[in-house]
Amino acid sequence: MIQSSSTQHSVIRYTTRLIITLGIIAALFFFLPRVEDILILFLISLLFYSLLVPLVNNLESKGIPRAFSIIIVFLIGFFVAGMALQFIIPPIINEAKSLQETITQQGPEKVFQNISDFIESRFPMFDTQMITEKLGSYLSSTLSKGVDVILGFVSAFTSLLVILFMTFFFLKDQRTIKKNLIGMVPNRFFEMSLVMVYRIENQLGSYIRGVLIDGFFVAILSSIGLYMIGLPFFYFVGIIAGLTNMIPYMGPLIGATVAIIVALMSNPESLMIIIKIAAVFAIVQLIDNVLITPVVVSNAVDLHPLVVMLAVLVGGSLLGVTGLIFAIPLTSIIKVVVEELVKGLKSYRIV
Amino acid sequence: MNSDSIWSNIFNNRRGESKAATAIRNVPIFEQLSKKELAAVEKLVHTRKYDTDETIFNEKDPGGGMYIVMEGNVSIVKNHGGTHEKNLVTLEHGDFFGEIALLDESPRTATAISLGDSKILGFYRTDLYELVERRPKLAIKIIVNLARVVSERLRHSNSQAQELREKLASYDAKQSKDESSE
Repeated sequence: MIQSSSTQHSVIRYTTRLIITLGIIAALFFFLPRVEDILILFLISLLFYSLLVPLVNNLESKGIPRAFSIIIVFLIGFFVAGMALQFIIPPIINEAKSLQETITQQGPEKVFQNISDFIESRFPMFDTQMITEKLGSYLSSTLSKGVDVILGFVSAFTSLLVILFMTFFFLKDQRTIKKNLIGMVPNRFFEMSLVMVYRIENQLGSYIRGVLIDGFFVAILSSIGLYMIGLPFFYFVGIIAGLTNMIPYMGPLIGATVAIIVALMSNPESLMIIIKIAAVFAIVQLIDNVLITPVVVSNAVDLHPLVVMLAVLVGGSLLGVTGLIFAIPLTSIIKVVVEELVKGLKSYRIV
Repeated sequence: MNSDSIWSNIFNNRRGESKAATAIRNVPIFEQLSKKELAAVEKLVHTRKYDTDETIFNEKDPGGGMYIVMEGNVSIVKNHGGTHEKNLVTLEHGDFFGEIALLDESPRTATAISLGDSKILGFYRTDLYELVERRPKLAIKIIVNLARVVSERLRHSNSQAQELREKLASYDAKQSKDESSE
């Protein structure tokens, strides 16, 4: 009698949980498209959280209370950001604005026209007209959009405040948030969930930190190299090289292509600069692959080249440039989650 | 049930602690922790409720952490092949089990089942790892206490094994004496 009542109790408890979970999922599907901007801020805050949590933990382990540790890390961050605003950001904004003007005035269509004329004069069998028009207009809109996004980000002070606020609370209350979320898992899967969440968090944390640090170094090295060969807008191209570096195999090629387009837009006559750009990108990649990547990026999320290609194609076709950049990190996250899920379910003999 | 001031342990809450804090403090693994450290552990532990006959963990599952019985009873059962199960021990309020899982992920050696509705505190390896990262001094205290508990259990097992060996030797001696006399 007691047993059947407690089983009934347990059934009611799980049914309630199931209904609540389904309700939350349905609400998410309903609200997500309406709160896309907030979701992006949320994801950026998670990225910052992932980047800063080891520093905060390190300070806390020295006996400094967590809230103070976070404030110290934030103050250091503000100082670095202040220096960047003082010395780096103004030239980037100028370059971005100037590049936007160049794109609007001249447009990559003209550059492609120059290139197609060059090809047609040597290989008359190619119908380059159509390719030029399509590629030119696509790149023109994409580049303008990219510049707009960067300018938008720089001026979005309110977004920055929201990100800082969310990052602060993620760093301060991550344990409570995690504990309450995992607390909803039924007893049967509770231990397994804890272990899996820990592993996934560790692997993803080190991967995200690695990718961000790697991209930062590639951006700096590319900017220095492009400055040395006298490429205009070297800051801007350097940042794009750092961002596209997240895409294995194809990333450096995309970065180099952007640099070549920028070079040809400013000086269509000189083809020598293309060789110099290629040399800069080759050297940066060599330094990155030999010195930076092995130290900072985790091998746990190695992806097969075919998966990389498919992910980039799908990401690009779904979300354009943003999709291209975030396709690989997202695929890596999915890979780690699925692998750990399967491993966990197998070790607990659930599957 | 525990309101009787003659029979119940009224001293448990003398420091104005919560029930969970008292239960944690009474476990040897969390001995000699300051009030602040105890509060930090209390924030980490997970309170779980189990129904009658609900399994807390299964034999051979990878170990995730240790448990402290807050309310109700827990039976530790060993499977001896097929459906033959032996109840090794029944644990009650304040008892703890599964602490070896704080050290590694080796499979559980027995199954833990809740007898009646129970409330149990779980302290897991991932919680200990977090303490190692964020509060290493506290983590060291817990690990030293854990080592003490494990070595105590080892000593106990060794003396039991020694007793068994002696019994076996005397049994062998008796057997061979009987055989020679026949």
